[in-house]
Amino acid sequence: MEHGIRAKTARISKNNLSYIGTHSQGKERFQGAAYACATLALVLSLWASRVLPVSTSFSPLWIVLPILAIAAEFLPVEFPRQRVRVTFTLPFVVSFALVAGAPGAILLDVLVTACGGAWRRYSRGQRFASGWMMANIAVAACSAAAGSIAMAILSSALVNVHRGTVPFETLGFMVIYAFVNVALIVILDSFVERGSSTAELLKGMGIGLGSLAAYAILGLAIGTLQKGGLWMAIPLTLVPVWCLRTALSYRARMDEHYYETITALTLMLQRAHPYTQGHVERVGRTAEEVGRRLGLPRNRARLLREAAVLHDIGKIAVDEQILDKPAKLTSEEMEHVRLHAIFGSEILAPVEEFAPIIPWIRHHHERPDGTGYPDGLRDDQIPIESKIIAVIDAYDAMTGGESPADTRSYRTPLTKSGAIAELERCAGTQFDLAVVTAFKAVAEMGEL
Amino acid sequence: MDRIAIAVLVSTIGMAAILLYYVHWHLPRQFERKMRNSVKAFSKAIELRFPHQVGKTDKVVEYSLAMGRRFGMAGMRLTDLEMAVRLRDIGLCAIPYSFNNIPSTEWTEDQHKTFFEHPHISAAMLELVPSLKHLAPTVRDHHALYSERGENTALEASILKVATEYVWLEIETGKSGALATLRSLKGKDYSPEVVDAFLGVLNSSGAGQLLPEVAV
Repeated sequence: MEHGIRAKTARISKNNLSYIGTHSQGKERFQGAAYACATLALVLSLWASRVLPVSTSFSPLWIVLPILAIAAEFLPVEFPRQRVRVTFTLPFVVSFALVAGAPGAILLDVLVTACGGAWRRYSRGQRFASGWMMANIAVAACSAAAGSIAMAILSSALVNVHRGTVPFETLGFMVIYAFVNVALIVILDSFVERGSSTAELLKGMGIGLGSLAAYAILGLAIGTLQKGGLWMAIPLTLVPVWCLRTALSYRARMDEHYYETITALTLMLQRAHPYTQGHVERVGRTAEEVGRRLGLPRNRARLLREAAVLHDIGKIAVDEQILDKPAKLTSEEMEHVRLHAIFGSEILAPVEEFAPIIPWIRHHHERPDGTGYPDGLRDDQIPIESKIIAVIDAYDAMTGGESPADTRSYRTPLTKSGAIAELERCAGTQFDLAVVTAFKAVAEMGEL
Repeated sequence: MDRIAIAVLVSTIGMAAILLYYVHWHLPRQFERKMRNSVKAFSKAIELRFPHQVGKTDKVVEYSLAMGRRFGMAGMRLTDLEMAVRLRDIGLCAIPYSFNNIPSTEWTEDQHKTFFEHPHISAAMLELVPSLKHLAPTVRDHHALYSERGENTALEASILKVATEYVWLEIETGKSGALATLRSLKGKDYSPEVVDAFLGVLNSSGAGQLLPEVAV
């Protein structure tokens, strides 16, 4: 991701999600996608302006709501790992649609998107990118126009059925807005990045969609206050917006701290046993792939990767002279090395986020035939994640790495095919057969 | 005026109050707890590598926080002090395991030199972790000599030095020996103000036990 042209991809829609990722070689594809998006925005805006025309009666909300929307835009929360930025302008945009019609909502959305985007680039000393800005504005306009169309349809459908249609119109606007917003980001992302980052992005989308309930409540509150003649109380809604922003910001910090903890622990292990550096990285990378192949859900496969990176953390407390001994270990030395599985679980125990992976790490040297350690578990008692780590760990130990430091000192490295043959020979006793099969498939696809 | 709108206004105010409580009281504490727990994981790793460290950190935390309070520290500054205490020795992971088998009194000059590389290693590791890198200067100087660094040493680092080395000296030479060393090296190895604060902490807590109000 660091080679070639480095340009910002869309910040898609201001109100909830902004895609802030980079793409390295898709500038032309990106511009093409941005033009397509702009055309769609134009068509949808014209349609929305017909079904939900601009209001002719001026009210103070024409000034109050844009100010609040811009204020909310300048309080974003960024999730750098997911490359997503969340802002809180949607409740104000939807209320503006009720006051000023579709053209007002679309213009407001475009305005805050442009202001927010330009300000962010300026504050970071980045070059102004017209394609990037156009894509963001186009996605914002598409989302607001689609939301306005939904609002108009619900308004006319419910006018004879229900006395108060504002809550339904508000919700309809926000749901469609969010849907179009997310869909366009994913389409743009997969088009530009050729799907390489869409999985991560979708994970990030969960963060934004999770906030939709909060948006909905706020949007309803603003709409009701406005229709009920209490528009002067609308600025009060900035308080919950600010609180939501702070709550999300804490979530982002906690998320980041979790990964920093993994990084710091891994650094400690590398300081104690430098040879483990490449080993844990390779095991982590492959474990997720094998886990996915064995049908683990995405989140569990991600956790498996983290567990695989930390599986040898207990070796911090193991004597490096024994680990690196260029000869067969005595039984006493072997007992000392075997403690690393227990040490690993003890080191990770204080961190509650590690609770699911602690058993996987503790049992990554258990064997289906019940002769493993530390607890001598039976086949059906060993977590599948431990079995996956066991296979990849053994493969990596048998083959060594490209760096001389990656070659274990006490045995000659095997070739890849030799190591796989050895895994197959031990399948059913030392290793799980299904895991060895899945691992072999991953290896044959050249994904190691 | 619309009754529903008034109800919504009251609900919005109520929601704002609940959210304010949540983001100003609950979330900061939750985040602090998570930070503290992950720091405990680092301490645990070092205690497992060097079993003679077991229990020392809790004692150093106790003394450091008591001294910190005497210097008027509170809130996040006190929390950071505790974090620094717990993280001060993570660099020990780079010290050879074989040091476990030799009493520190029998270390050669080279071994002493190797061992005292750990504050720099700890600090270098912390600098790689964005949420903890602000603790690196304190950790780097936690064995620095007052006579060499003088006023350039942060108060937190001086506190850590006194607390850490007192706990170490107490194990090796007993309480009276440790206190005698602190007093004799006051102004040389140790900051005079911090030694005075430490003696005050000990004196105010009776026979070596911290009073509840100064204990963690």
